[in-house]
Amino acid sequence: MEDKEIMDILKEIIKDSIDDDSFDPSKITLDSIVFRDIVKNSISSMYVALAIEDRFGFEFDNETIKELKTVQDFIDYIKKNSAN
Amino acid sequence: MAKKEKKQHTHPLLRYWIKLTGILIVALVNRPKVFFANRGLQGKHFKGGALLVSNHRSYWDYISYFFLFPFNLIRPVVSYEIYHKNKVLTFFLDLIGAIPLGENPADFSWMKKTIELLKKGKKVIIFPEAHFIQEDKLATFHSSYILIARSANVPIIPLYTDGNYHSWKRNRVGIGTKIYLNSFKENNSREELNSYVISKIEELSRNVKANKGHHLFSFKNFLWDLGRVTVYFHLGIAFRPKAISLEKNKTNRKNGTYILAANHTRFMDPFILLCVFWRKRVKILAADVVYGLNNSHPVRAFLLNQGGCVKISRESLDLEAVSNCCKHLKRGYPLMVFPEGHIKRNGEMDALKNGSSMMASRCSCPIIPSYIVYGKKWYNRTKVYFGKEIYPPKDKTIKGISQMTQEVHEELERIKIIAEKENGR
Repeated sequence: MEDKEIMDILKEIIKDSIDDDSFDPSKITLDSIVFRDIVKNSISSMYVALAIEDRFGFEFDNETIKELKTVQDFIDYIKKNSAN
Repeated sequence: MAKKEKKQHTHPLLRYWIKLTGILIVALVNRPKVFFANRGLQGKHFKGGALLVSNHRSYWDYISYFFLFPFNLIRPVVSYEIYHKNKVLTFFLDLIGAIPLGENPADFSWMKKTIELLKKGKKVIIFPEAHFIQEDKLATFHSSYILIARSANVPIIPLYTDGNYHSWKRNRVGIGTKIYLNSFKENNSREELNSYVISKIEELSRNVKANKGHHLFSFKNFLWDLGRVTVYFHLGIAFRPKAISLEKNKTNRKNGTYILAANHTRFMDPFILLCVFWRKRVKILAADVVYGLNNSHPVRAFLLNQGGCVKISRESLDLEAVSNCCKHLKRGYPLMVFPEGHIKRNGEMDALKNGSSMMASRCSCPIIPSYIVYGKKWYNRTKVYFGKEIYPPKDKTIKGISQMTQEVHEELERIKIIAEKENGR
């Protein structure tokens, strides 16, 4: 899977996780910190993590998810662990 | 052709006679064990026309379902290849009133006939997978049955069979509740309705599998089971909890997967609910503070884990806890949560957390709002009120989840008003 393809899926997941119609996913960059700059509450964070697990067919453990900060970190991790 | 028509019209009395003579033999061979999604709503007897939809494992499915419902004649829809496989099978399928598909795929006379029968109040079973699936998962469902049910204006009843017919193991069958297609919007496509029916059959399959190993006691869950029974005998005498369902025709201790979302006014709340559900292995979502901070109480933590508690962190993103709860739900067991997230002793309800709705949405299971009212005096019974089940919306995004939480909150507030009125508060 290409980085761009994963990025598009991540944008879609993040958009679904935010209860705000004015949110613009095009503002998400590779350097954005997922659980601070984009997703700001715990339930949305949980939603993002679980949706990534479902979409890419792997499971995060509690320690790993703490280490992943930026969108690029997520893309790298997904590329390494994705079942597809 | 005329010969075929004659064969297909076996007299109902003859079919009842076959049922009467064969029911005992089939019951002994298959030893069917039936799981009901909600026995109060749908048992083994059907009134009016109904389209039964099931997964397909073998030829024995026709026989098994024919004899499973003692008071109803169920006519199966059978593919052309199976119907003409051999003369003995054709003879038997004719006897039970099978509706064969045409040789030409463009021949829809079977559909017309099925709709006519359903409109007359008959029961027809259809296997939309169209061929036998030996694996433990469902294949693609052809959605033509949705068209049939819509045209005949009859409900769909999802069924599941595990296909154990020729072994010492018992045949496990799941019977779901009626799905009325007219309760859906007209613009819902056939595929959307089809996937809804599939999700119901999948849910049945999970519940049937979970029910498989369910015994009052098992060595694997020894402490858990011992705890359940001990709690029931001690607190059941002390508090005498009484379960009250506010919904008509609903059993408040139903089988299957659901999340119990209760108010939280005392530390005793989970024990009261355990008393009510003592026959079931209910997992309880417990905050990390209950376990003691920094693993300072290992014995307590061990006992809580053995007693069916799942620890969830309040501070960090605890994916493992959510994953554990979802696995438990998918195995077909209930889960108990206190969505306020803390004890509120004055009885007022705080805003609910979204976690329970998210798990319900992921596992496609309902939330049953429950409200616990303690007696004023020590000798008064504790009452547990159950409201209407809240099903997850089709919108699986955070908006849908928030909406579901809002619905649960409103239902809890409604139960609270009724409960307080009844108890003179």
